[in-house]
Amino acid sequence: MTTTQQHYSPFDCLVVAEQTPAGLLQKESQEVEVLLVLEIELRASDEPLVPLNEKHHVDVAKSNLPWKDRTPQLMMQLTTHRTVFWSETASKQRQGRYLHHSQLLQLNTESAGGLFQKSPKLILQTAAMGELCLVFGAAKKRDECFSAYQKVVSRRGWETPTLNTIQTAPRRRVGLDALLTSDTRRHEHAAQLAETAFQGDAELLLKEAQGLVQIIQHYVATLERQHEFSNAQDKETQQLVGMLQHMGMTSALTPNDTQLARELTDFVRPHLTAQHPVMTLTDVYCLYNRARATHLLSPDDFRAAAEQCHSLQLGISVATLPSGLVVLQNDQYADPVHLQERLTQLLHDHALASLTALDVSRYWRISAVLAMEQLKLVERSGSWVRDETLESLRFYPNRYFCA
Amino acid sequence: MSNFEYPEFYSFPPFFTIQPVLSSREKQLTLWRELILRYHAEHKIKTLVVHDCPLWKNDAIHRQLRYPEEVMQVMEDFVKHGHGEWEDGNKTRCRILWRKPEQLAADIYQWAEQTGHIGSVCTVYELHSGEDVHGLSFQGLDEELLRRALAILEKSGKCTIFQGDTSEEVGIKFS
Repeated sequence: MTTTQQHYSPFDCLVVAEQTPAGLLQKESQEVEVLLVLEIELRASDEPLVPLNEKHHVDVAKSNLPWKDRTPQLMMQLTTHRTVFWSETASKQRQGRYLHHSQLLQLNTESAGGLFQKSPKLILQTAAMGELCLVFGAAKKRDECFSAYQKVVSRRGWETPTLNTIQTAPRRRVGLDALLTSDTRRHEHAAQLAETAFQGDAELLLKEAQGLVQIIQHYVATLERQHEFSNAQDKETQQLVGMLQHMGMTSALTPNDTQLARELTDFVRPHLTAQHPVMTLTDVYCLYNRARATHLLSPDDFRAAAEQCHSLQLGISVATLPSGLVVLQNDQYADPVHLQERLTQLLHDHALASLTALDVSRYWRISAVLAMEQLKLVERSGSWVRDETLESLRFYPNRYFCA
Repeated sequence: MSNFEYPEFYSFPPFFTIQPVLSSREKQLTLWRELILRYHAEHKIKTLVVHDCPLWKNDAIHRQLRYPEEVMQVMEDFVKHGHGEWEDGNKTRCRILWRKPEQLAADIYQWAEQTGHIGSVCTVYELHSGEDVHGLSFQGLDEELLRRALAILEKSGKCTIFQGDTSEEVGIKFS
């Protein structure tokens, strides 16, 4: 929500979610993302609700503004514990507010179409906020969301069943009854574990199928290019897209670079410290993919996500150095003056008069190519000069050639 | 030769690599111009032989300017700034202008004022080899350069030149 808003709406009445530095949801223990809906409208039937501020208190300033019963253009993230709504300002700042699933009383769908061409809706009966309505762009997305909701609510992941509940049961009962109860609970627990395991495997398979999806995406793009002058969609394309949607791969067809950019930032930002503020994009790609284990990311998607980081003002950005080397850098330390100070410090620390790319590479544990680029960067700023011999290319702090 | 005191930057290894960055290179070439001028002026060397100039190499730090590319770059800059003139078309020899003609003209007129030569006549020979020009910028100067400086003075009405066949016959009357 913008700071100069003229009214308040249902979104302002939800609890503010804690975020990671890059603006992602700070998940609770064992909380897992289930579904992402890129555009949704949130409506409230009971009016007016109470707006809340970041400290979860009543936002008095907002409560004096006029009430509007709907908040359009939200992104919805469904997790096992919460439904999180995201709003983005013009300056790409995100705010997340959530509805905890323990508040959910009932779920209903409202059919689309009909005489008045109503939008597909999902009605949530909640304990604290009364009836909330989620308005979707497409009925298919609503149905997908509804089934995800049903699964989440039936599992009640937020209650985090532990072994304690099983162990405490026999204390209340004695004899044969206790044994039977214990046995029943054990069976239930085993069944739940099996279901979770199967679900996990299925999701893993789906994720691994993303490579296939990428091929299909290219295929679809090619087909679209072929038919760009005709409005009629090719039957084959429709069939292919339909097939993918049937497989539940709609999200794969519309990759969300923004989300990925934030995930990437949360991952890589701690590595881009004041001492090592620059890494080659290939290094980051390898590190990131290694951290993702089996859920590998294609180079194109990675590059697209990395390039989003700057426009989202996440504090890191992609830069192409004059040699063509592409790096990811921490904007806070991208200034040549900072680099110059670090290099001078390196000279002092090791009692050296000059540096070669190999020296920098060895001391900073970065690639020689990147080390050379760093030295050339300070050279371009005029603060260092070169000494080129057959033996090596050395760089000295500029003591005499200063303008 | 041996008493010439080389500046500190002459022992700075990057001085012998022409810098690729413009701002650094400009300052570096300025230092080269100053060094060449001071070296030749102090040693009263009128001509620089490009392939035989000791300045290009510093044995103490095992560095030298690459010949001919970097040496020529320094020399072209030196000539462009009016401190020297090529004596041949192949650019192998360069006449060093210790002082630019305008500066020389000013020096000569100042000398004439200080030694009471205003209103009197002296010869070109006296100017470069006379007894009372010892230690001055035009002592031992090439006659052609001297004539060029005098022409500047004549043009500004500060002297009159009486032509003659030799330097001892050419007279100058300062006014």
